[in-house]
Amino acid sequence: MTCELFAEGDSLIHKLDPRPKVAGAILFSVFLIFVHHLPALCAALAGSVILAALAKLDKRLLLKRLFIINLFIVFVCVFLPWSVAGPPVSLPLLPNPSTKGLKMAVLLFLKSNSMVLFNIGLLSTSSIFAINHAMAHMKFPPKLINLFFFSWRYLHVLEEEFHKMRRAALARGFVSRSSLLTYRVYANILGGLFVRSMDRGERVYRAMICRGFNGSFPLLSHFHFHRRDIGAALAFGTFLIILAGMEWLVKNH
Amino acid sequence: MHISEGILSPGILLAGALVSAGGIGIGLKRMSERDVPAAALMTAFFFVGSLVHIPIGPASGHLVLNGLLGLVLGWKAWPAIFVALVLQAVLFQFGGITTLGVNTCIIALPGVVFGLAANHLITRLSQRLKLIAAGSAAALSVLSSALLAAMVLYMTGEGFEAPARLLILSHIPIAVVEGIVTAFICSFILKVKPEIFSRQAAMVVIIVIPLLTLAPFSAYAHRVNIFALIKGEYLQGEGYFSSGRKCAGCRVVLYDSKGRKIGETETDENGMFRFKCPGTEEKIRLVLDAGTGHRAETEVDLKIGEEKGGPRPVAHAAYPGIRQGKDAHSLEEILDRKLEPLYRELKELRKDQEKTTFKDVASGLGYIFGLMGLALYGFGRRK
Repeated sequence: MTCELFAEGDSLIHKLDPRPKVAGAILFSVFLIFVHHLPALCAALAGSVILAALAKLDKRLLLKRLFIINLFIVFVCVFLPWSVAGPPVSLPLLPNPSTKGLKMAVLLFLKSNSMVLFNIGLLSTSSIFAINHAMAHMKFPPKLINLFFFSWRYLHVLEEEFHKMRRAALARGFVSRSSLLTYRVYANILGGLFVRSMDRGERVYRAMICRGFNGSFPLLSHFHFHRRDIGAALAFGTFLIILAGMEWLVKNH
Repeated sequence: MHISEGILSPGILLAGALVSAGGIGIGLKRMSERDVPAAALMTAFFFVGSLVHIPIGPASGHLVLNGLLGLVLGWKAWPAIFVALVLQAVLFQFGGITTLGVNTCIIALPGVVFGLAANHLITRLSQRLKLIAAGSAAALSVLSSALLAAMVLYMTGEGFEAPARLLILSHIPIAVVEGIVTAFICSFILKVKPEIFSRQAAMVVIIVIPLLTLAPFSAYAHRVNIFALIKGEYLQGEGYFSSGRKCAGCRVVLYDSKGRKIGETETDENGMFRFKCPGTEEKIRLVLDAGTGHRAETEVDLKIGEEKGGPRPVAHAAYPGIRQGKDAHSLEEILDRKLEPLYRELKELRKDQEKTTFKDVASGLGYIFGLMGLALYGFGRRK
């Protein structure tokens, strides 16, 4: 399974300390919730695009990812021009959309996309373990961090096991179609996976106890703020202030 | 079932975050060090399960597995589902950071409630009934998750009714398949390793289940109604809640048959409003908005005078074709005919109102019992 599509690279963004990256992603997303006007949203999207460019992400993979996400976003937006009442506007191809609904749809589309793009640029450029590590330094509850850690550690193991069992079923002539038999076969595969993961959980726990696990992982390496981290934080801060300023100006005119 | 970022309003996001923070807190408290690896493997199982595409008729859907997780983990399913959603948000951008709370609620809440109920039953019933209990708990979890997601969309504002409805409809077949598959999974587990279904001390769900089923009724009980009729050249009406309270200061918007807005006003302190009848229109639609999700609408047919749509709207005609003094007798006849549905409607309305007050009381009691149960359960566990 290729999950961490964007985590590898040696761009400036990849080198940043994951702690400010996590904080920045959260801050940006929360900030954008409160932005409701076009200029600031366009600027936010532009900022996200610049971030993605700085991270030197693989364009094909990125577009593919954005396309999938936009299926969800469009599903919600597409009805807005007709379901929100307002004065109609005449456009080619679209029968009588209302201006208000159309505006809402465009704003939503911009907002969602800039959030997604920004999070890909900032969060997905760190590995999950780095994010987990950052969470540990950011004083998240230790049980949650361990849960996160073990989940990610065993996700691939389980996935591989699932595919192994599925391959075994296919090798025995199993054809996936919508029938009770298919559901039963999938259920047995998943049931097997379930029982094995329960057993594995128990084994992992015992193995950890044998190695003197006391409920938390000691952190060997510590993060250090570099000059580039401070620079990035300052750039991000000014960006947010500019956005806030734009939003405020538009709102009061 | 993931609601994407940037759609929901801040209030709903905050509410979702608070509820799921509570759930995660309880779940983590219940989770001992020993449980962590097993819960993590369940998280991974949940994640992998959502990657499994199962054919449903011509299409395919993926399993949700929230019911099964609730069944096995109980309250501990909250942090497990949260972690899985964080992973999905970071890896695939499904859902997102700001919607994490709401999405966790949508998936974990029904899973935990129905899962605990099934857990309670599974240790007591005969083999076949066990599977039925597990299957229906899984199906109900998926369905309630879809309902919750739709409700969240609907509450976020005007314009999201269509996707909300589609969301529920598209999850009905998924819920059925999920139920079947989960029943089979449980039958497998009961054969291989039945001790997995350890008791999750689920006394409380016996109280919570009726609470959840009552919730839609309580939404119904607070419904606003709109009542409009034509008086001379004015369209007069009133907005009120089912409890009988007047809907004062609510926005009333008038749309024409093509959905264009043609007028807007506010109700006064008695819930009354008044428009001048638009002369050219045949059919107009009135929408009353009493804030967060409380909306009522009615359609008034200016030409024929018959009500259209829901049971509540009362309409009645301006009398086209009859000019003053032309034919008093036929006017009276028409009047009688036109007023007949109005009277009938009024009667039904009153009956309906009595019904909702009953439901109101019932759901209120349900809530009180539910909250009491939750509190007692919490205290009982701590000791």
